[in-house]
Amino acid sequence: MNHDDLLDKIAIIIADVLDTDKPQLDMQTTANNIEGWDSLAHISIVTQIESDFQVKFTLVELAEFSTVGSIVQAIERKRNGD
Amino acid sequence: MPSVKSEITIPLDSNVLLRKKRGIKRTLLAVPGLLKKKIAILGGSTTAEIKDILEIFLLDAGIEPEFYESDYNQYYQVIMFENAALKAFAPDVIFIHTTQVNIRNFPSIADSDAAVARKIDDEFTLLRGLWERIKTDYGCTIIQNNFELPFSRPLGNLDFSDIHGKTHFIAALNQKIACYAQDNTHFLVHDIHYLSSWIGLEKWHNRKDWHSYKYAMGLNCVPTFAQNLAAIVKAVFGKTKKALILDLDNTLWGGIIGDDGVHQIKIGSGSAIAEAYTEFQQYVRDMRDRGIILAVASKNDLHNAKEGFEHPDSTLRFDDFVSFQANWDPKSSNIHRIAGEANIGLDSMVFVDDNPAERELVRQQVPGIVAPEMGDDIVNYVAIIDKSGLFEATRILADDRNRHQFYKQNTTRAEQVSQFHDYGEYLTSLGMSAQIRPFDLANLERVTQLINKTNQFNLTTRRYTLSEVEDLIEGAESVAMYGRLSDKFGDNGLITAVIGHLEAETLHINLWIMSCRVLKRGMEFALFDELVRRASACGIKTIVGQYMKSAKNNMVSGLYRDLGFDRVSGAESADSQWVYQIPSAYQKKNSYIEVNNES
Repeated sequence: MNHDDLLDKIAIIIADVLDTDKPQLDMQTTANNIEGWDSLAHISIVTQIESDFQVKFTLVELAEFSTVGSIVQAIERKRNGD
Repeated sequence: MPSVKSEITIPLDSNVLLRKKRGIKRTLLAVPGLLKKKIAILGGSTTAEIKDILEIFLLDAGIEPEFYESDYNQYYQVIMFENAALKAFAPDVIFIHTTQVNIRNFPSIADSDAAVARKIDDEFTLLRGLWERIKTDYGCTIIQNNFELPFSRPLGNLDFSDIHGKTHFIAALNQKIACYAQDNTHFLVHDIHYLSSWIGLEKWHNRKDWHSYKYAMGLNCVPTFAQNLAAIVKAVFGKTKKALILDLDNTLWGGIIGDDGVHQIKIGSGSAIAEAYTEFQQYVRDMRDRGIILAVASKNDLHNAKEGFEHPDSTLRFDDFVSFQANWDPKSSNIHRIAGEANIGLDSMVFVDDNPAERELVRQQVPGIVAPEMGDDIVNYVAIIDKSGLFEATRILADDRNRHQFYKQNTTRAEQVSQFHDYGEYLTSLGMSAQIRPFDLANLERVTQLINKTNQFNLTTRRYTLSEVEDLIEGAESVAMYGRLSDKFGDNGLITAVIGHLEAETLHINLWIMSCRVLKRGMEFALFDELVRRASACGIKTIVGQYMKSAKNNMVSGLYRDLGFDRVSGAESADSQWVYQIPSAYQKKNSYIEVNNES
């Protein structure tokens, strides 16, 4: 799965959680760029990503998520058996 | 009650709820006729997700909650120090969300026996202080978590038996919480001790969700938690189910009785499958014993269906069902028939059938009924019903335990009616006697329960909390009476109540309810006679009554007219106000019930 596929799946999760249309995401998108993505929604989004992609983020990763790109990279690292 | 299909599946799909809560909430909020209630959530850890998911469960049950949410870990301060915001909010319910992370006095290994005992007392005293303060300042219902087992056990297995163990400490504390609940009817325990064990402590004690977000349980546990909590809130506001409607073949026993014959059906102890069906029958029987009404809706010949309960290993007996519909009509028609016979609302029913097509049809054709996704494996049936929270109660009273008897007696009475040409003759033959008395402490809980669950014979559908009812006992400006009715078939228990307030020379009736199990016996006339007698004794000349239309109370839209009231505002069968001038020579309206109204 390439970046675009991952971004698209994450966009679907965000749309479900925020109850909005699917947002346009790129690797630089941050929570500030998306209306409604506050700290509470962030918890739901991250939890849903973990359950959808069947990954578990570490405490360090959770603390360092600043852009959608950093989430995508963390998923990729885990999928590559890192 | 909204007649739309539920947005929430039973059993629960936690992931869908967590993910789509906003969308689901939007859909549910669009349903008309929601009951508005105020709930304060005072947390010892993060509560945001709990609030959101709880809201969905309550909306789904027809309750629109307004929330007050304390700041993080401020439950103690909010309660113990004057809080203008919470005062102004005036909660109907306060939920205290504490967990083992909030325990302040865990023993240390060096503590003496006496020191440990003191710590248990201190911890409990802190909690009791909160509850007593709420009682004084807010007088509302309290829902309090008990404590779940600890995350870690430094003492290993000894943690359970050694007095310094956290496990040991929590067991002692929980015991005290249970005792307090037994003595305080407005205090209800949310049993997270059981819930966390059922979910699994490994999932519950999710350290990442604790350290990252300060959730005292894994986020994935929140939907189950909220479902369990919502069950209590729904019970407080009378939104729980009363009846279990059961299919027979492959639901209460394995196999098809019409094809296989009574000796071939799987029930009893012959095999794993037979034992699983017996386990389910025993659970259903336990539900009957605690006051849930049982009925059968089955596609079967009546003779074959009845024979299933004559199987020597059948736990349930034909007699356990208050209505037994076995025929080839659509199940929806049979369910309507059951509703008529037992006098219960369709939205008080839970339908259990192994056939997904029947479940779907019933959901579409019977508004308000719940038909859980039972699946096709009997091994899951008990847990699906047991964890649904559909039948939650705030108390089990003597009236609940006798409910089955009340309904069975009604069936016998119904058989009697047909023997009389004249309904009055039938009423006379019942040999009815009633007690009509002012509210008293002994019957406080039953009166409150009746007020909050009666929908049909209910003129205003006003709901009262236990403490509001208690206030009426000594109220000088109010009239508040209950009635009990018995006849030659047995005691019906406490089945009616009326509440009014006095203003100048007028009595205003604020609430008038009667249980559906004593409809058409003339009890309303006996109660009205007594109301007039008491009103006249206080110099009252006029009685004002009100009919507030609801989805369920059409049967009493003409009650005041029938009693001789004049309508002064509103229209027939709509919200209306009625006035009655007590004549100087009042003629008693009741002629079939012997009334004992001393005291």
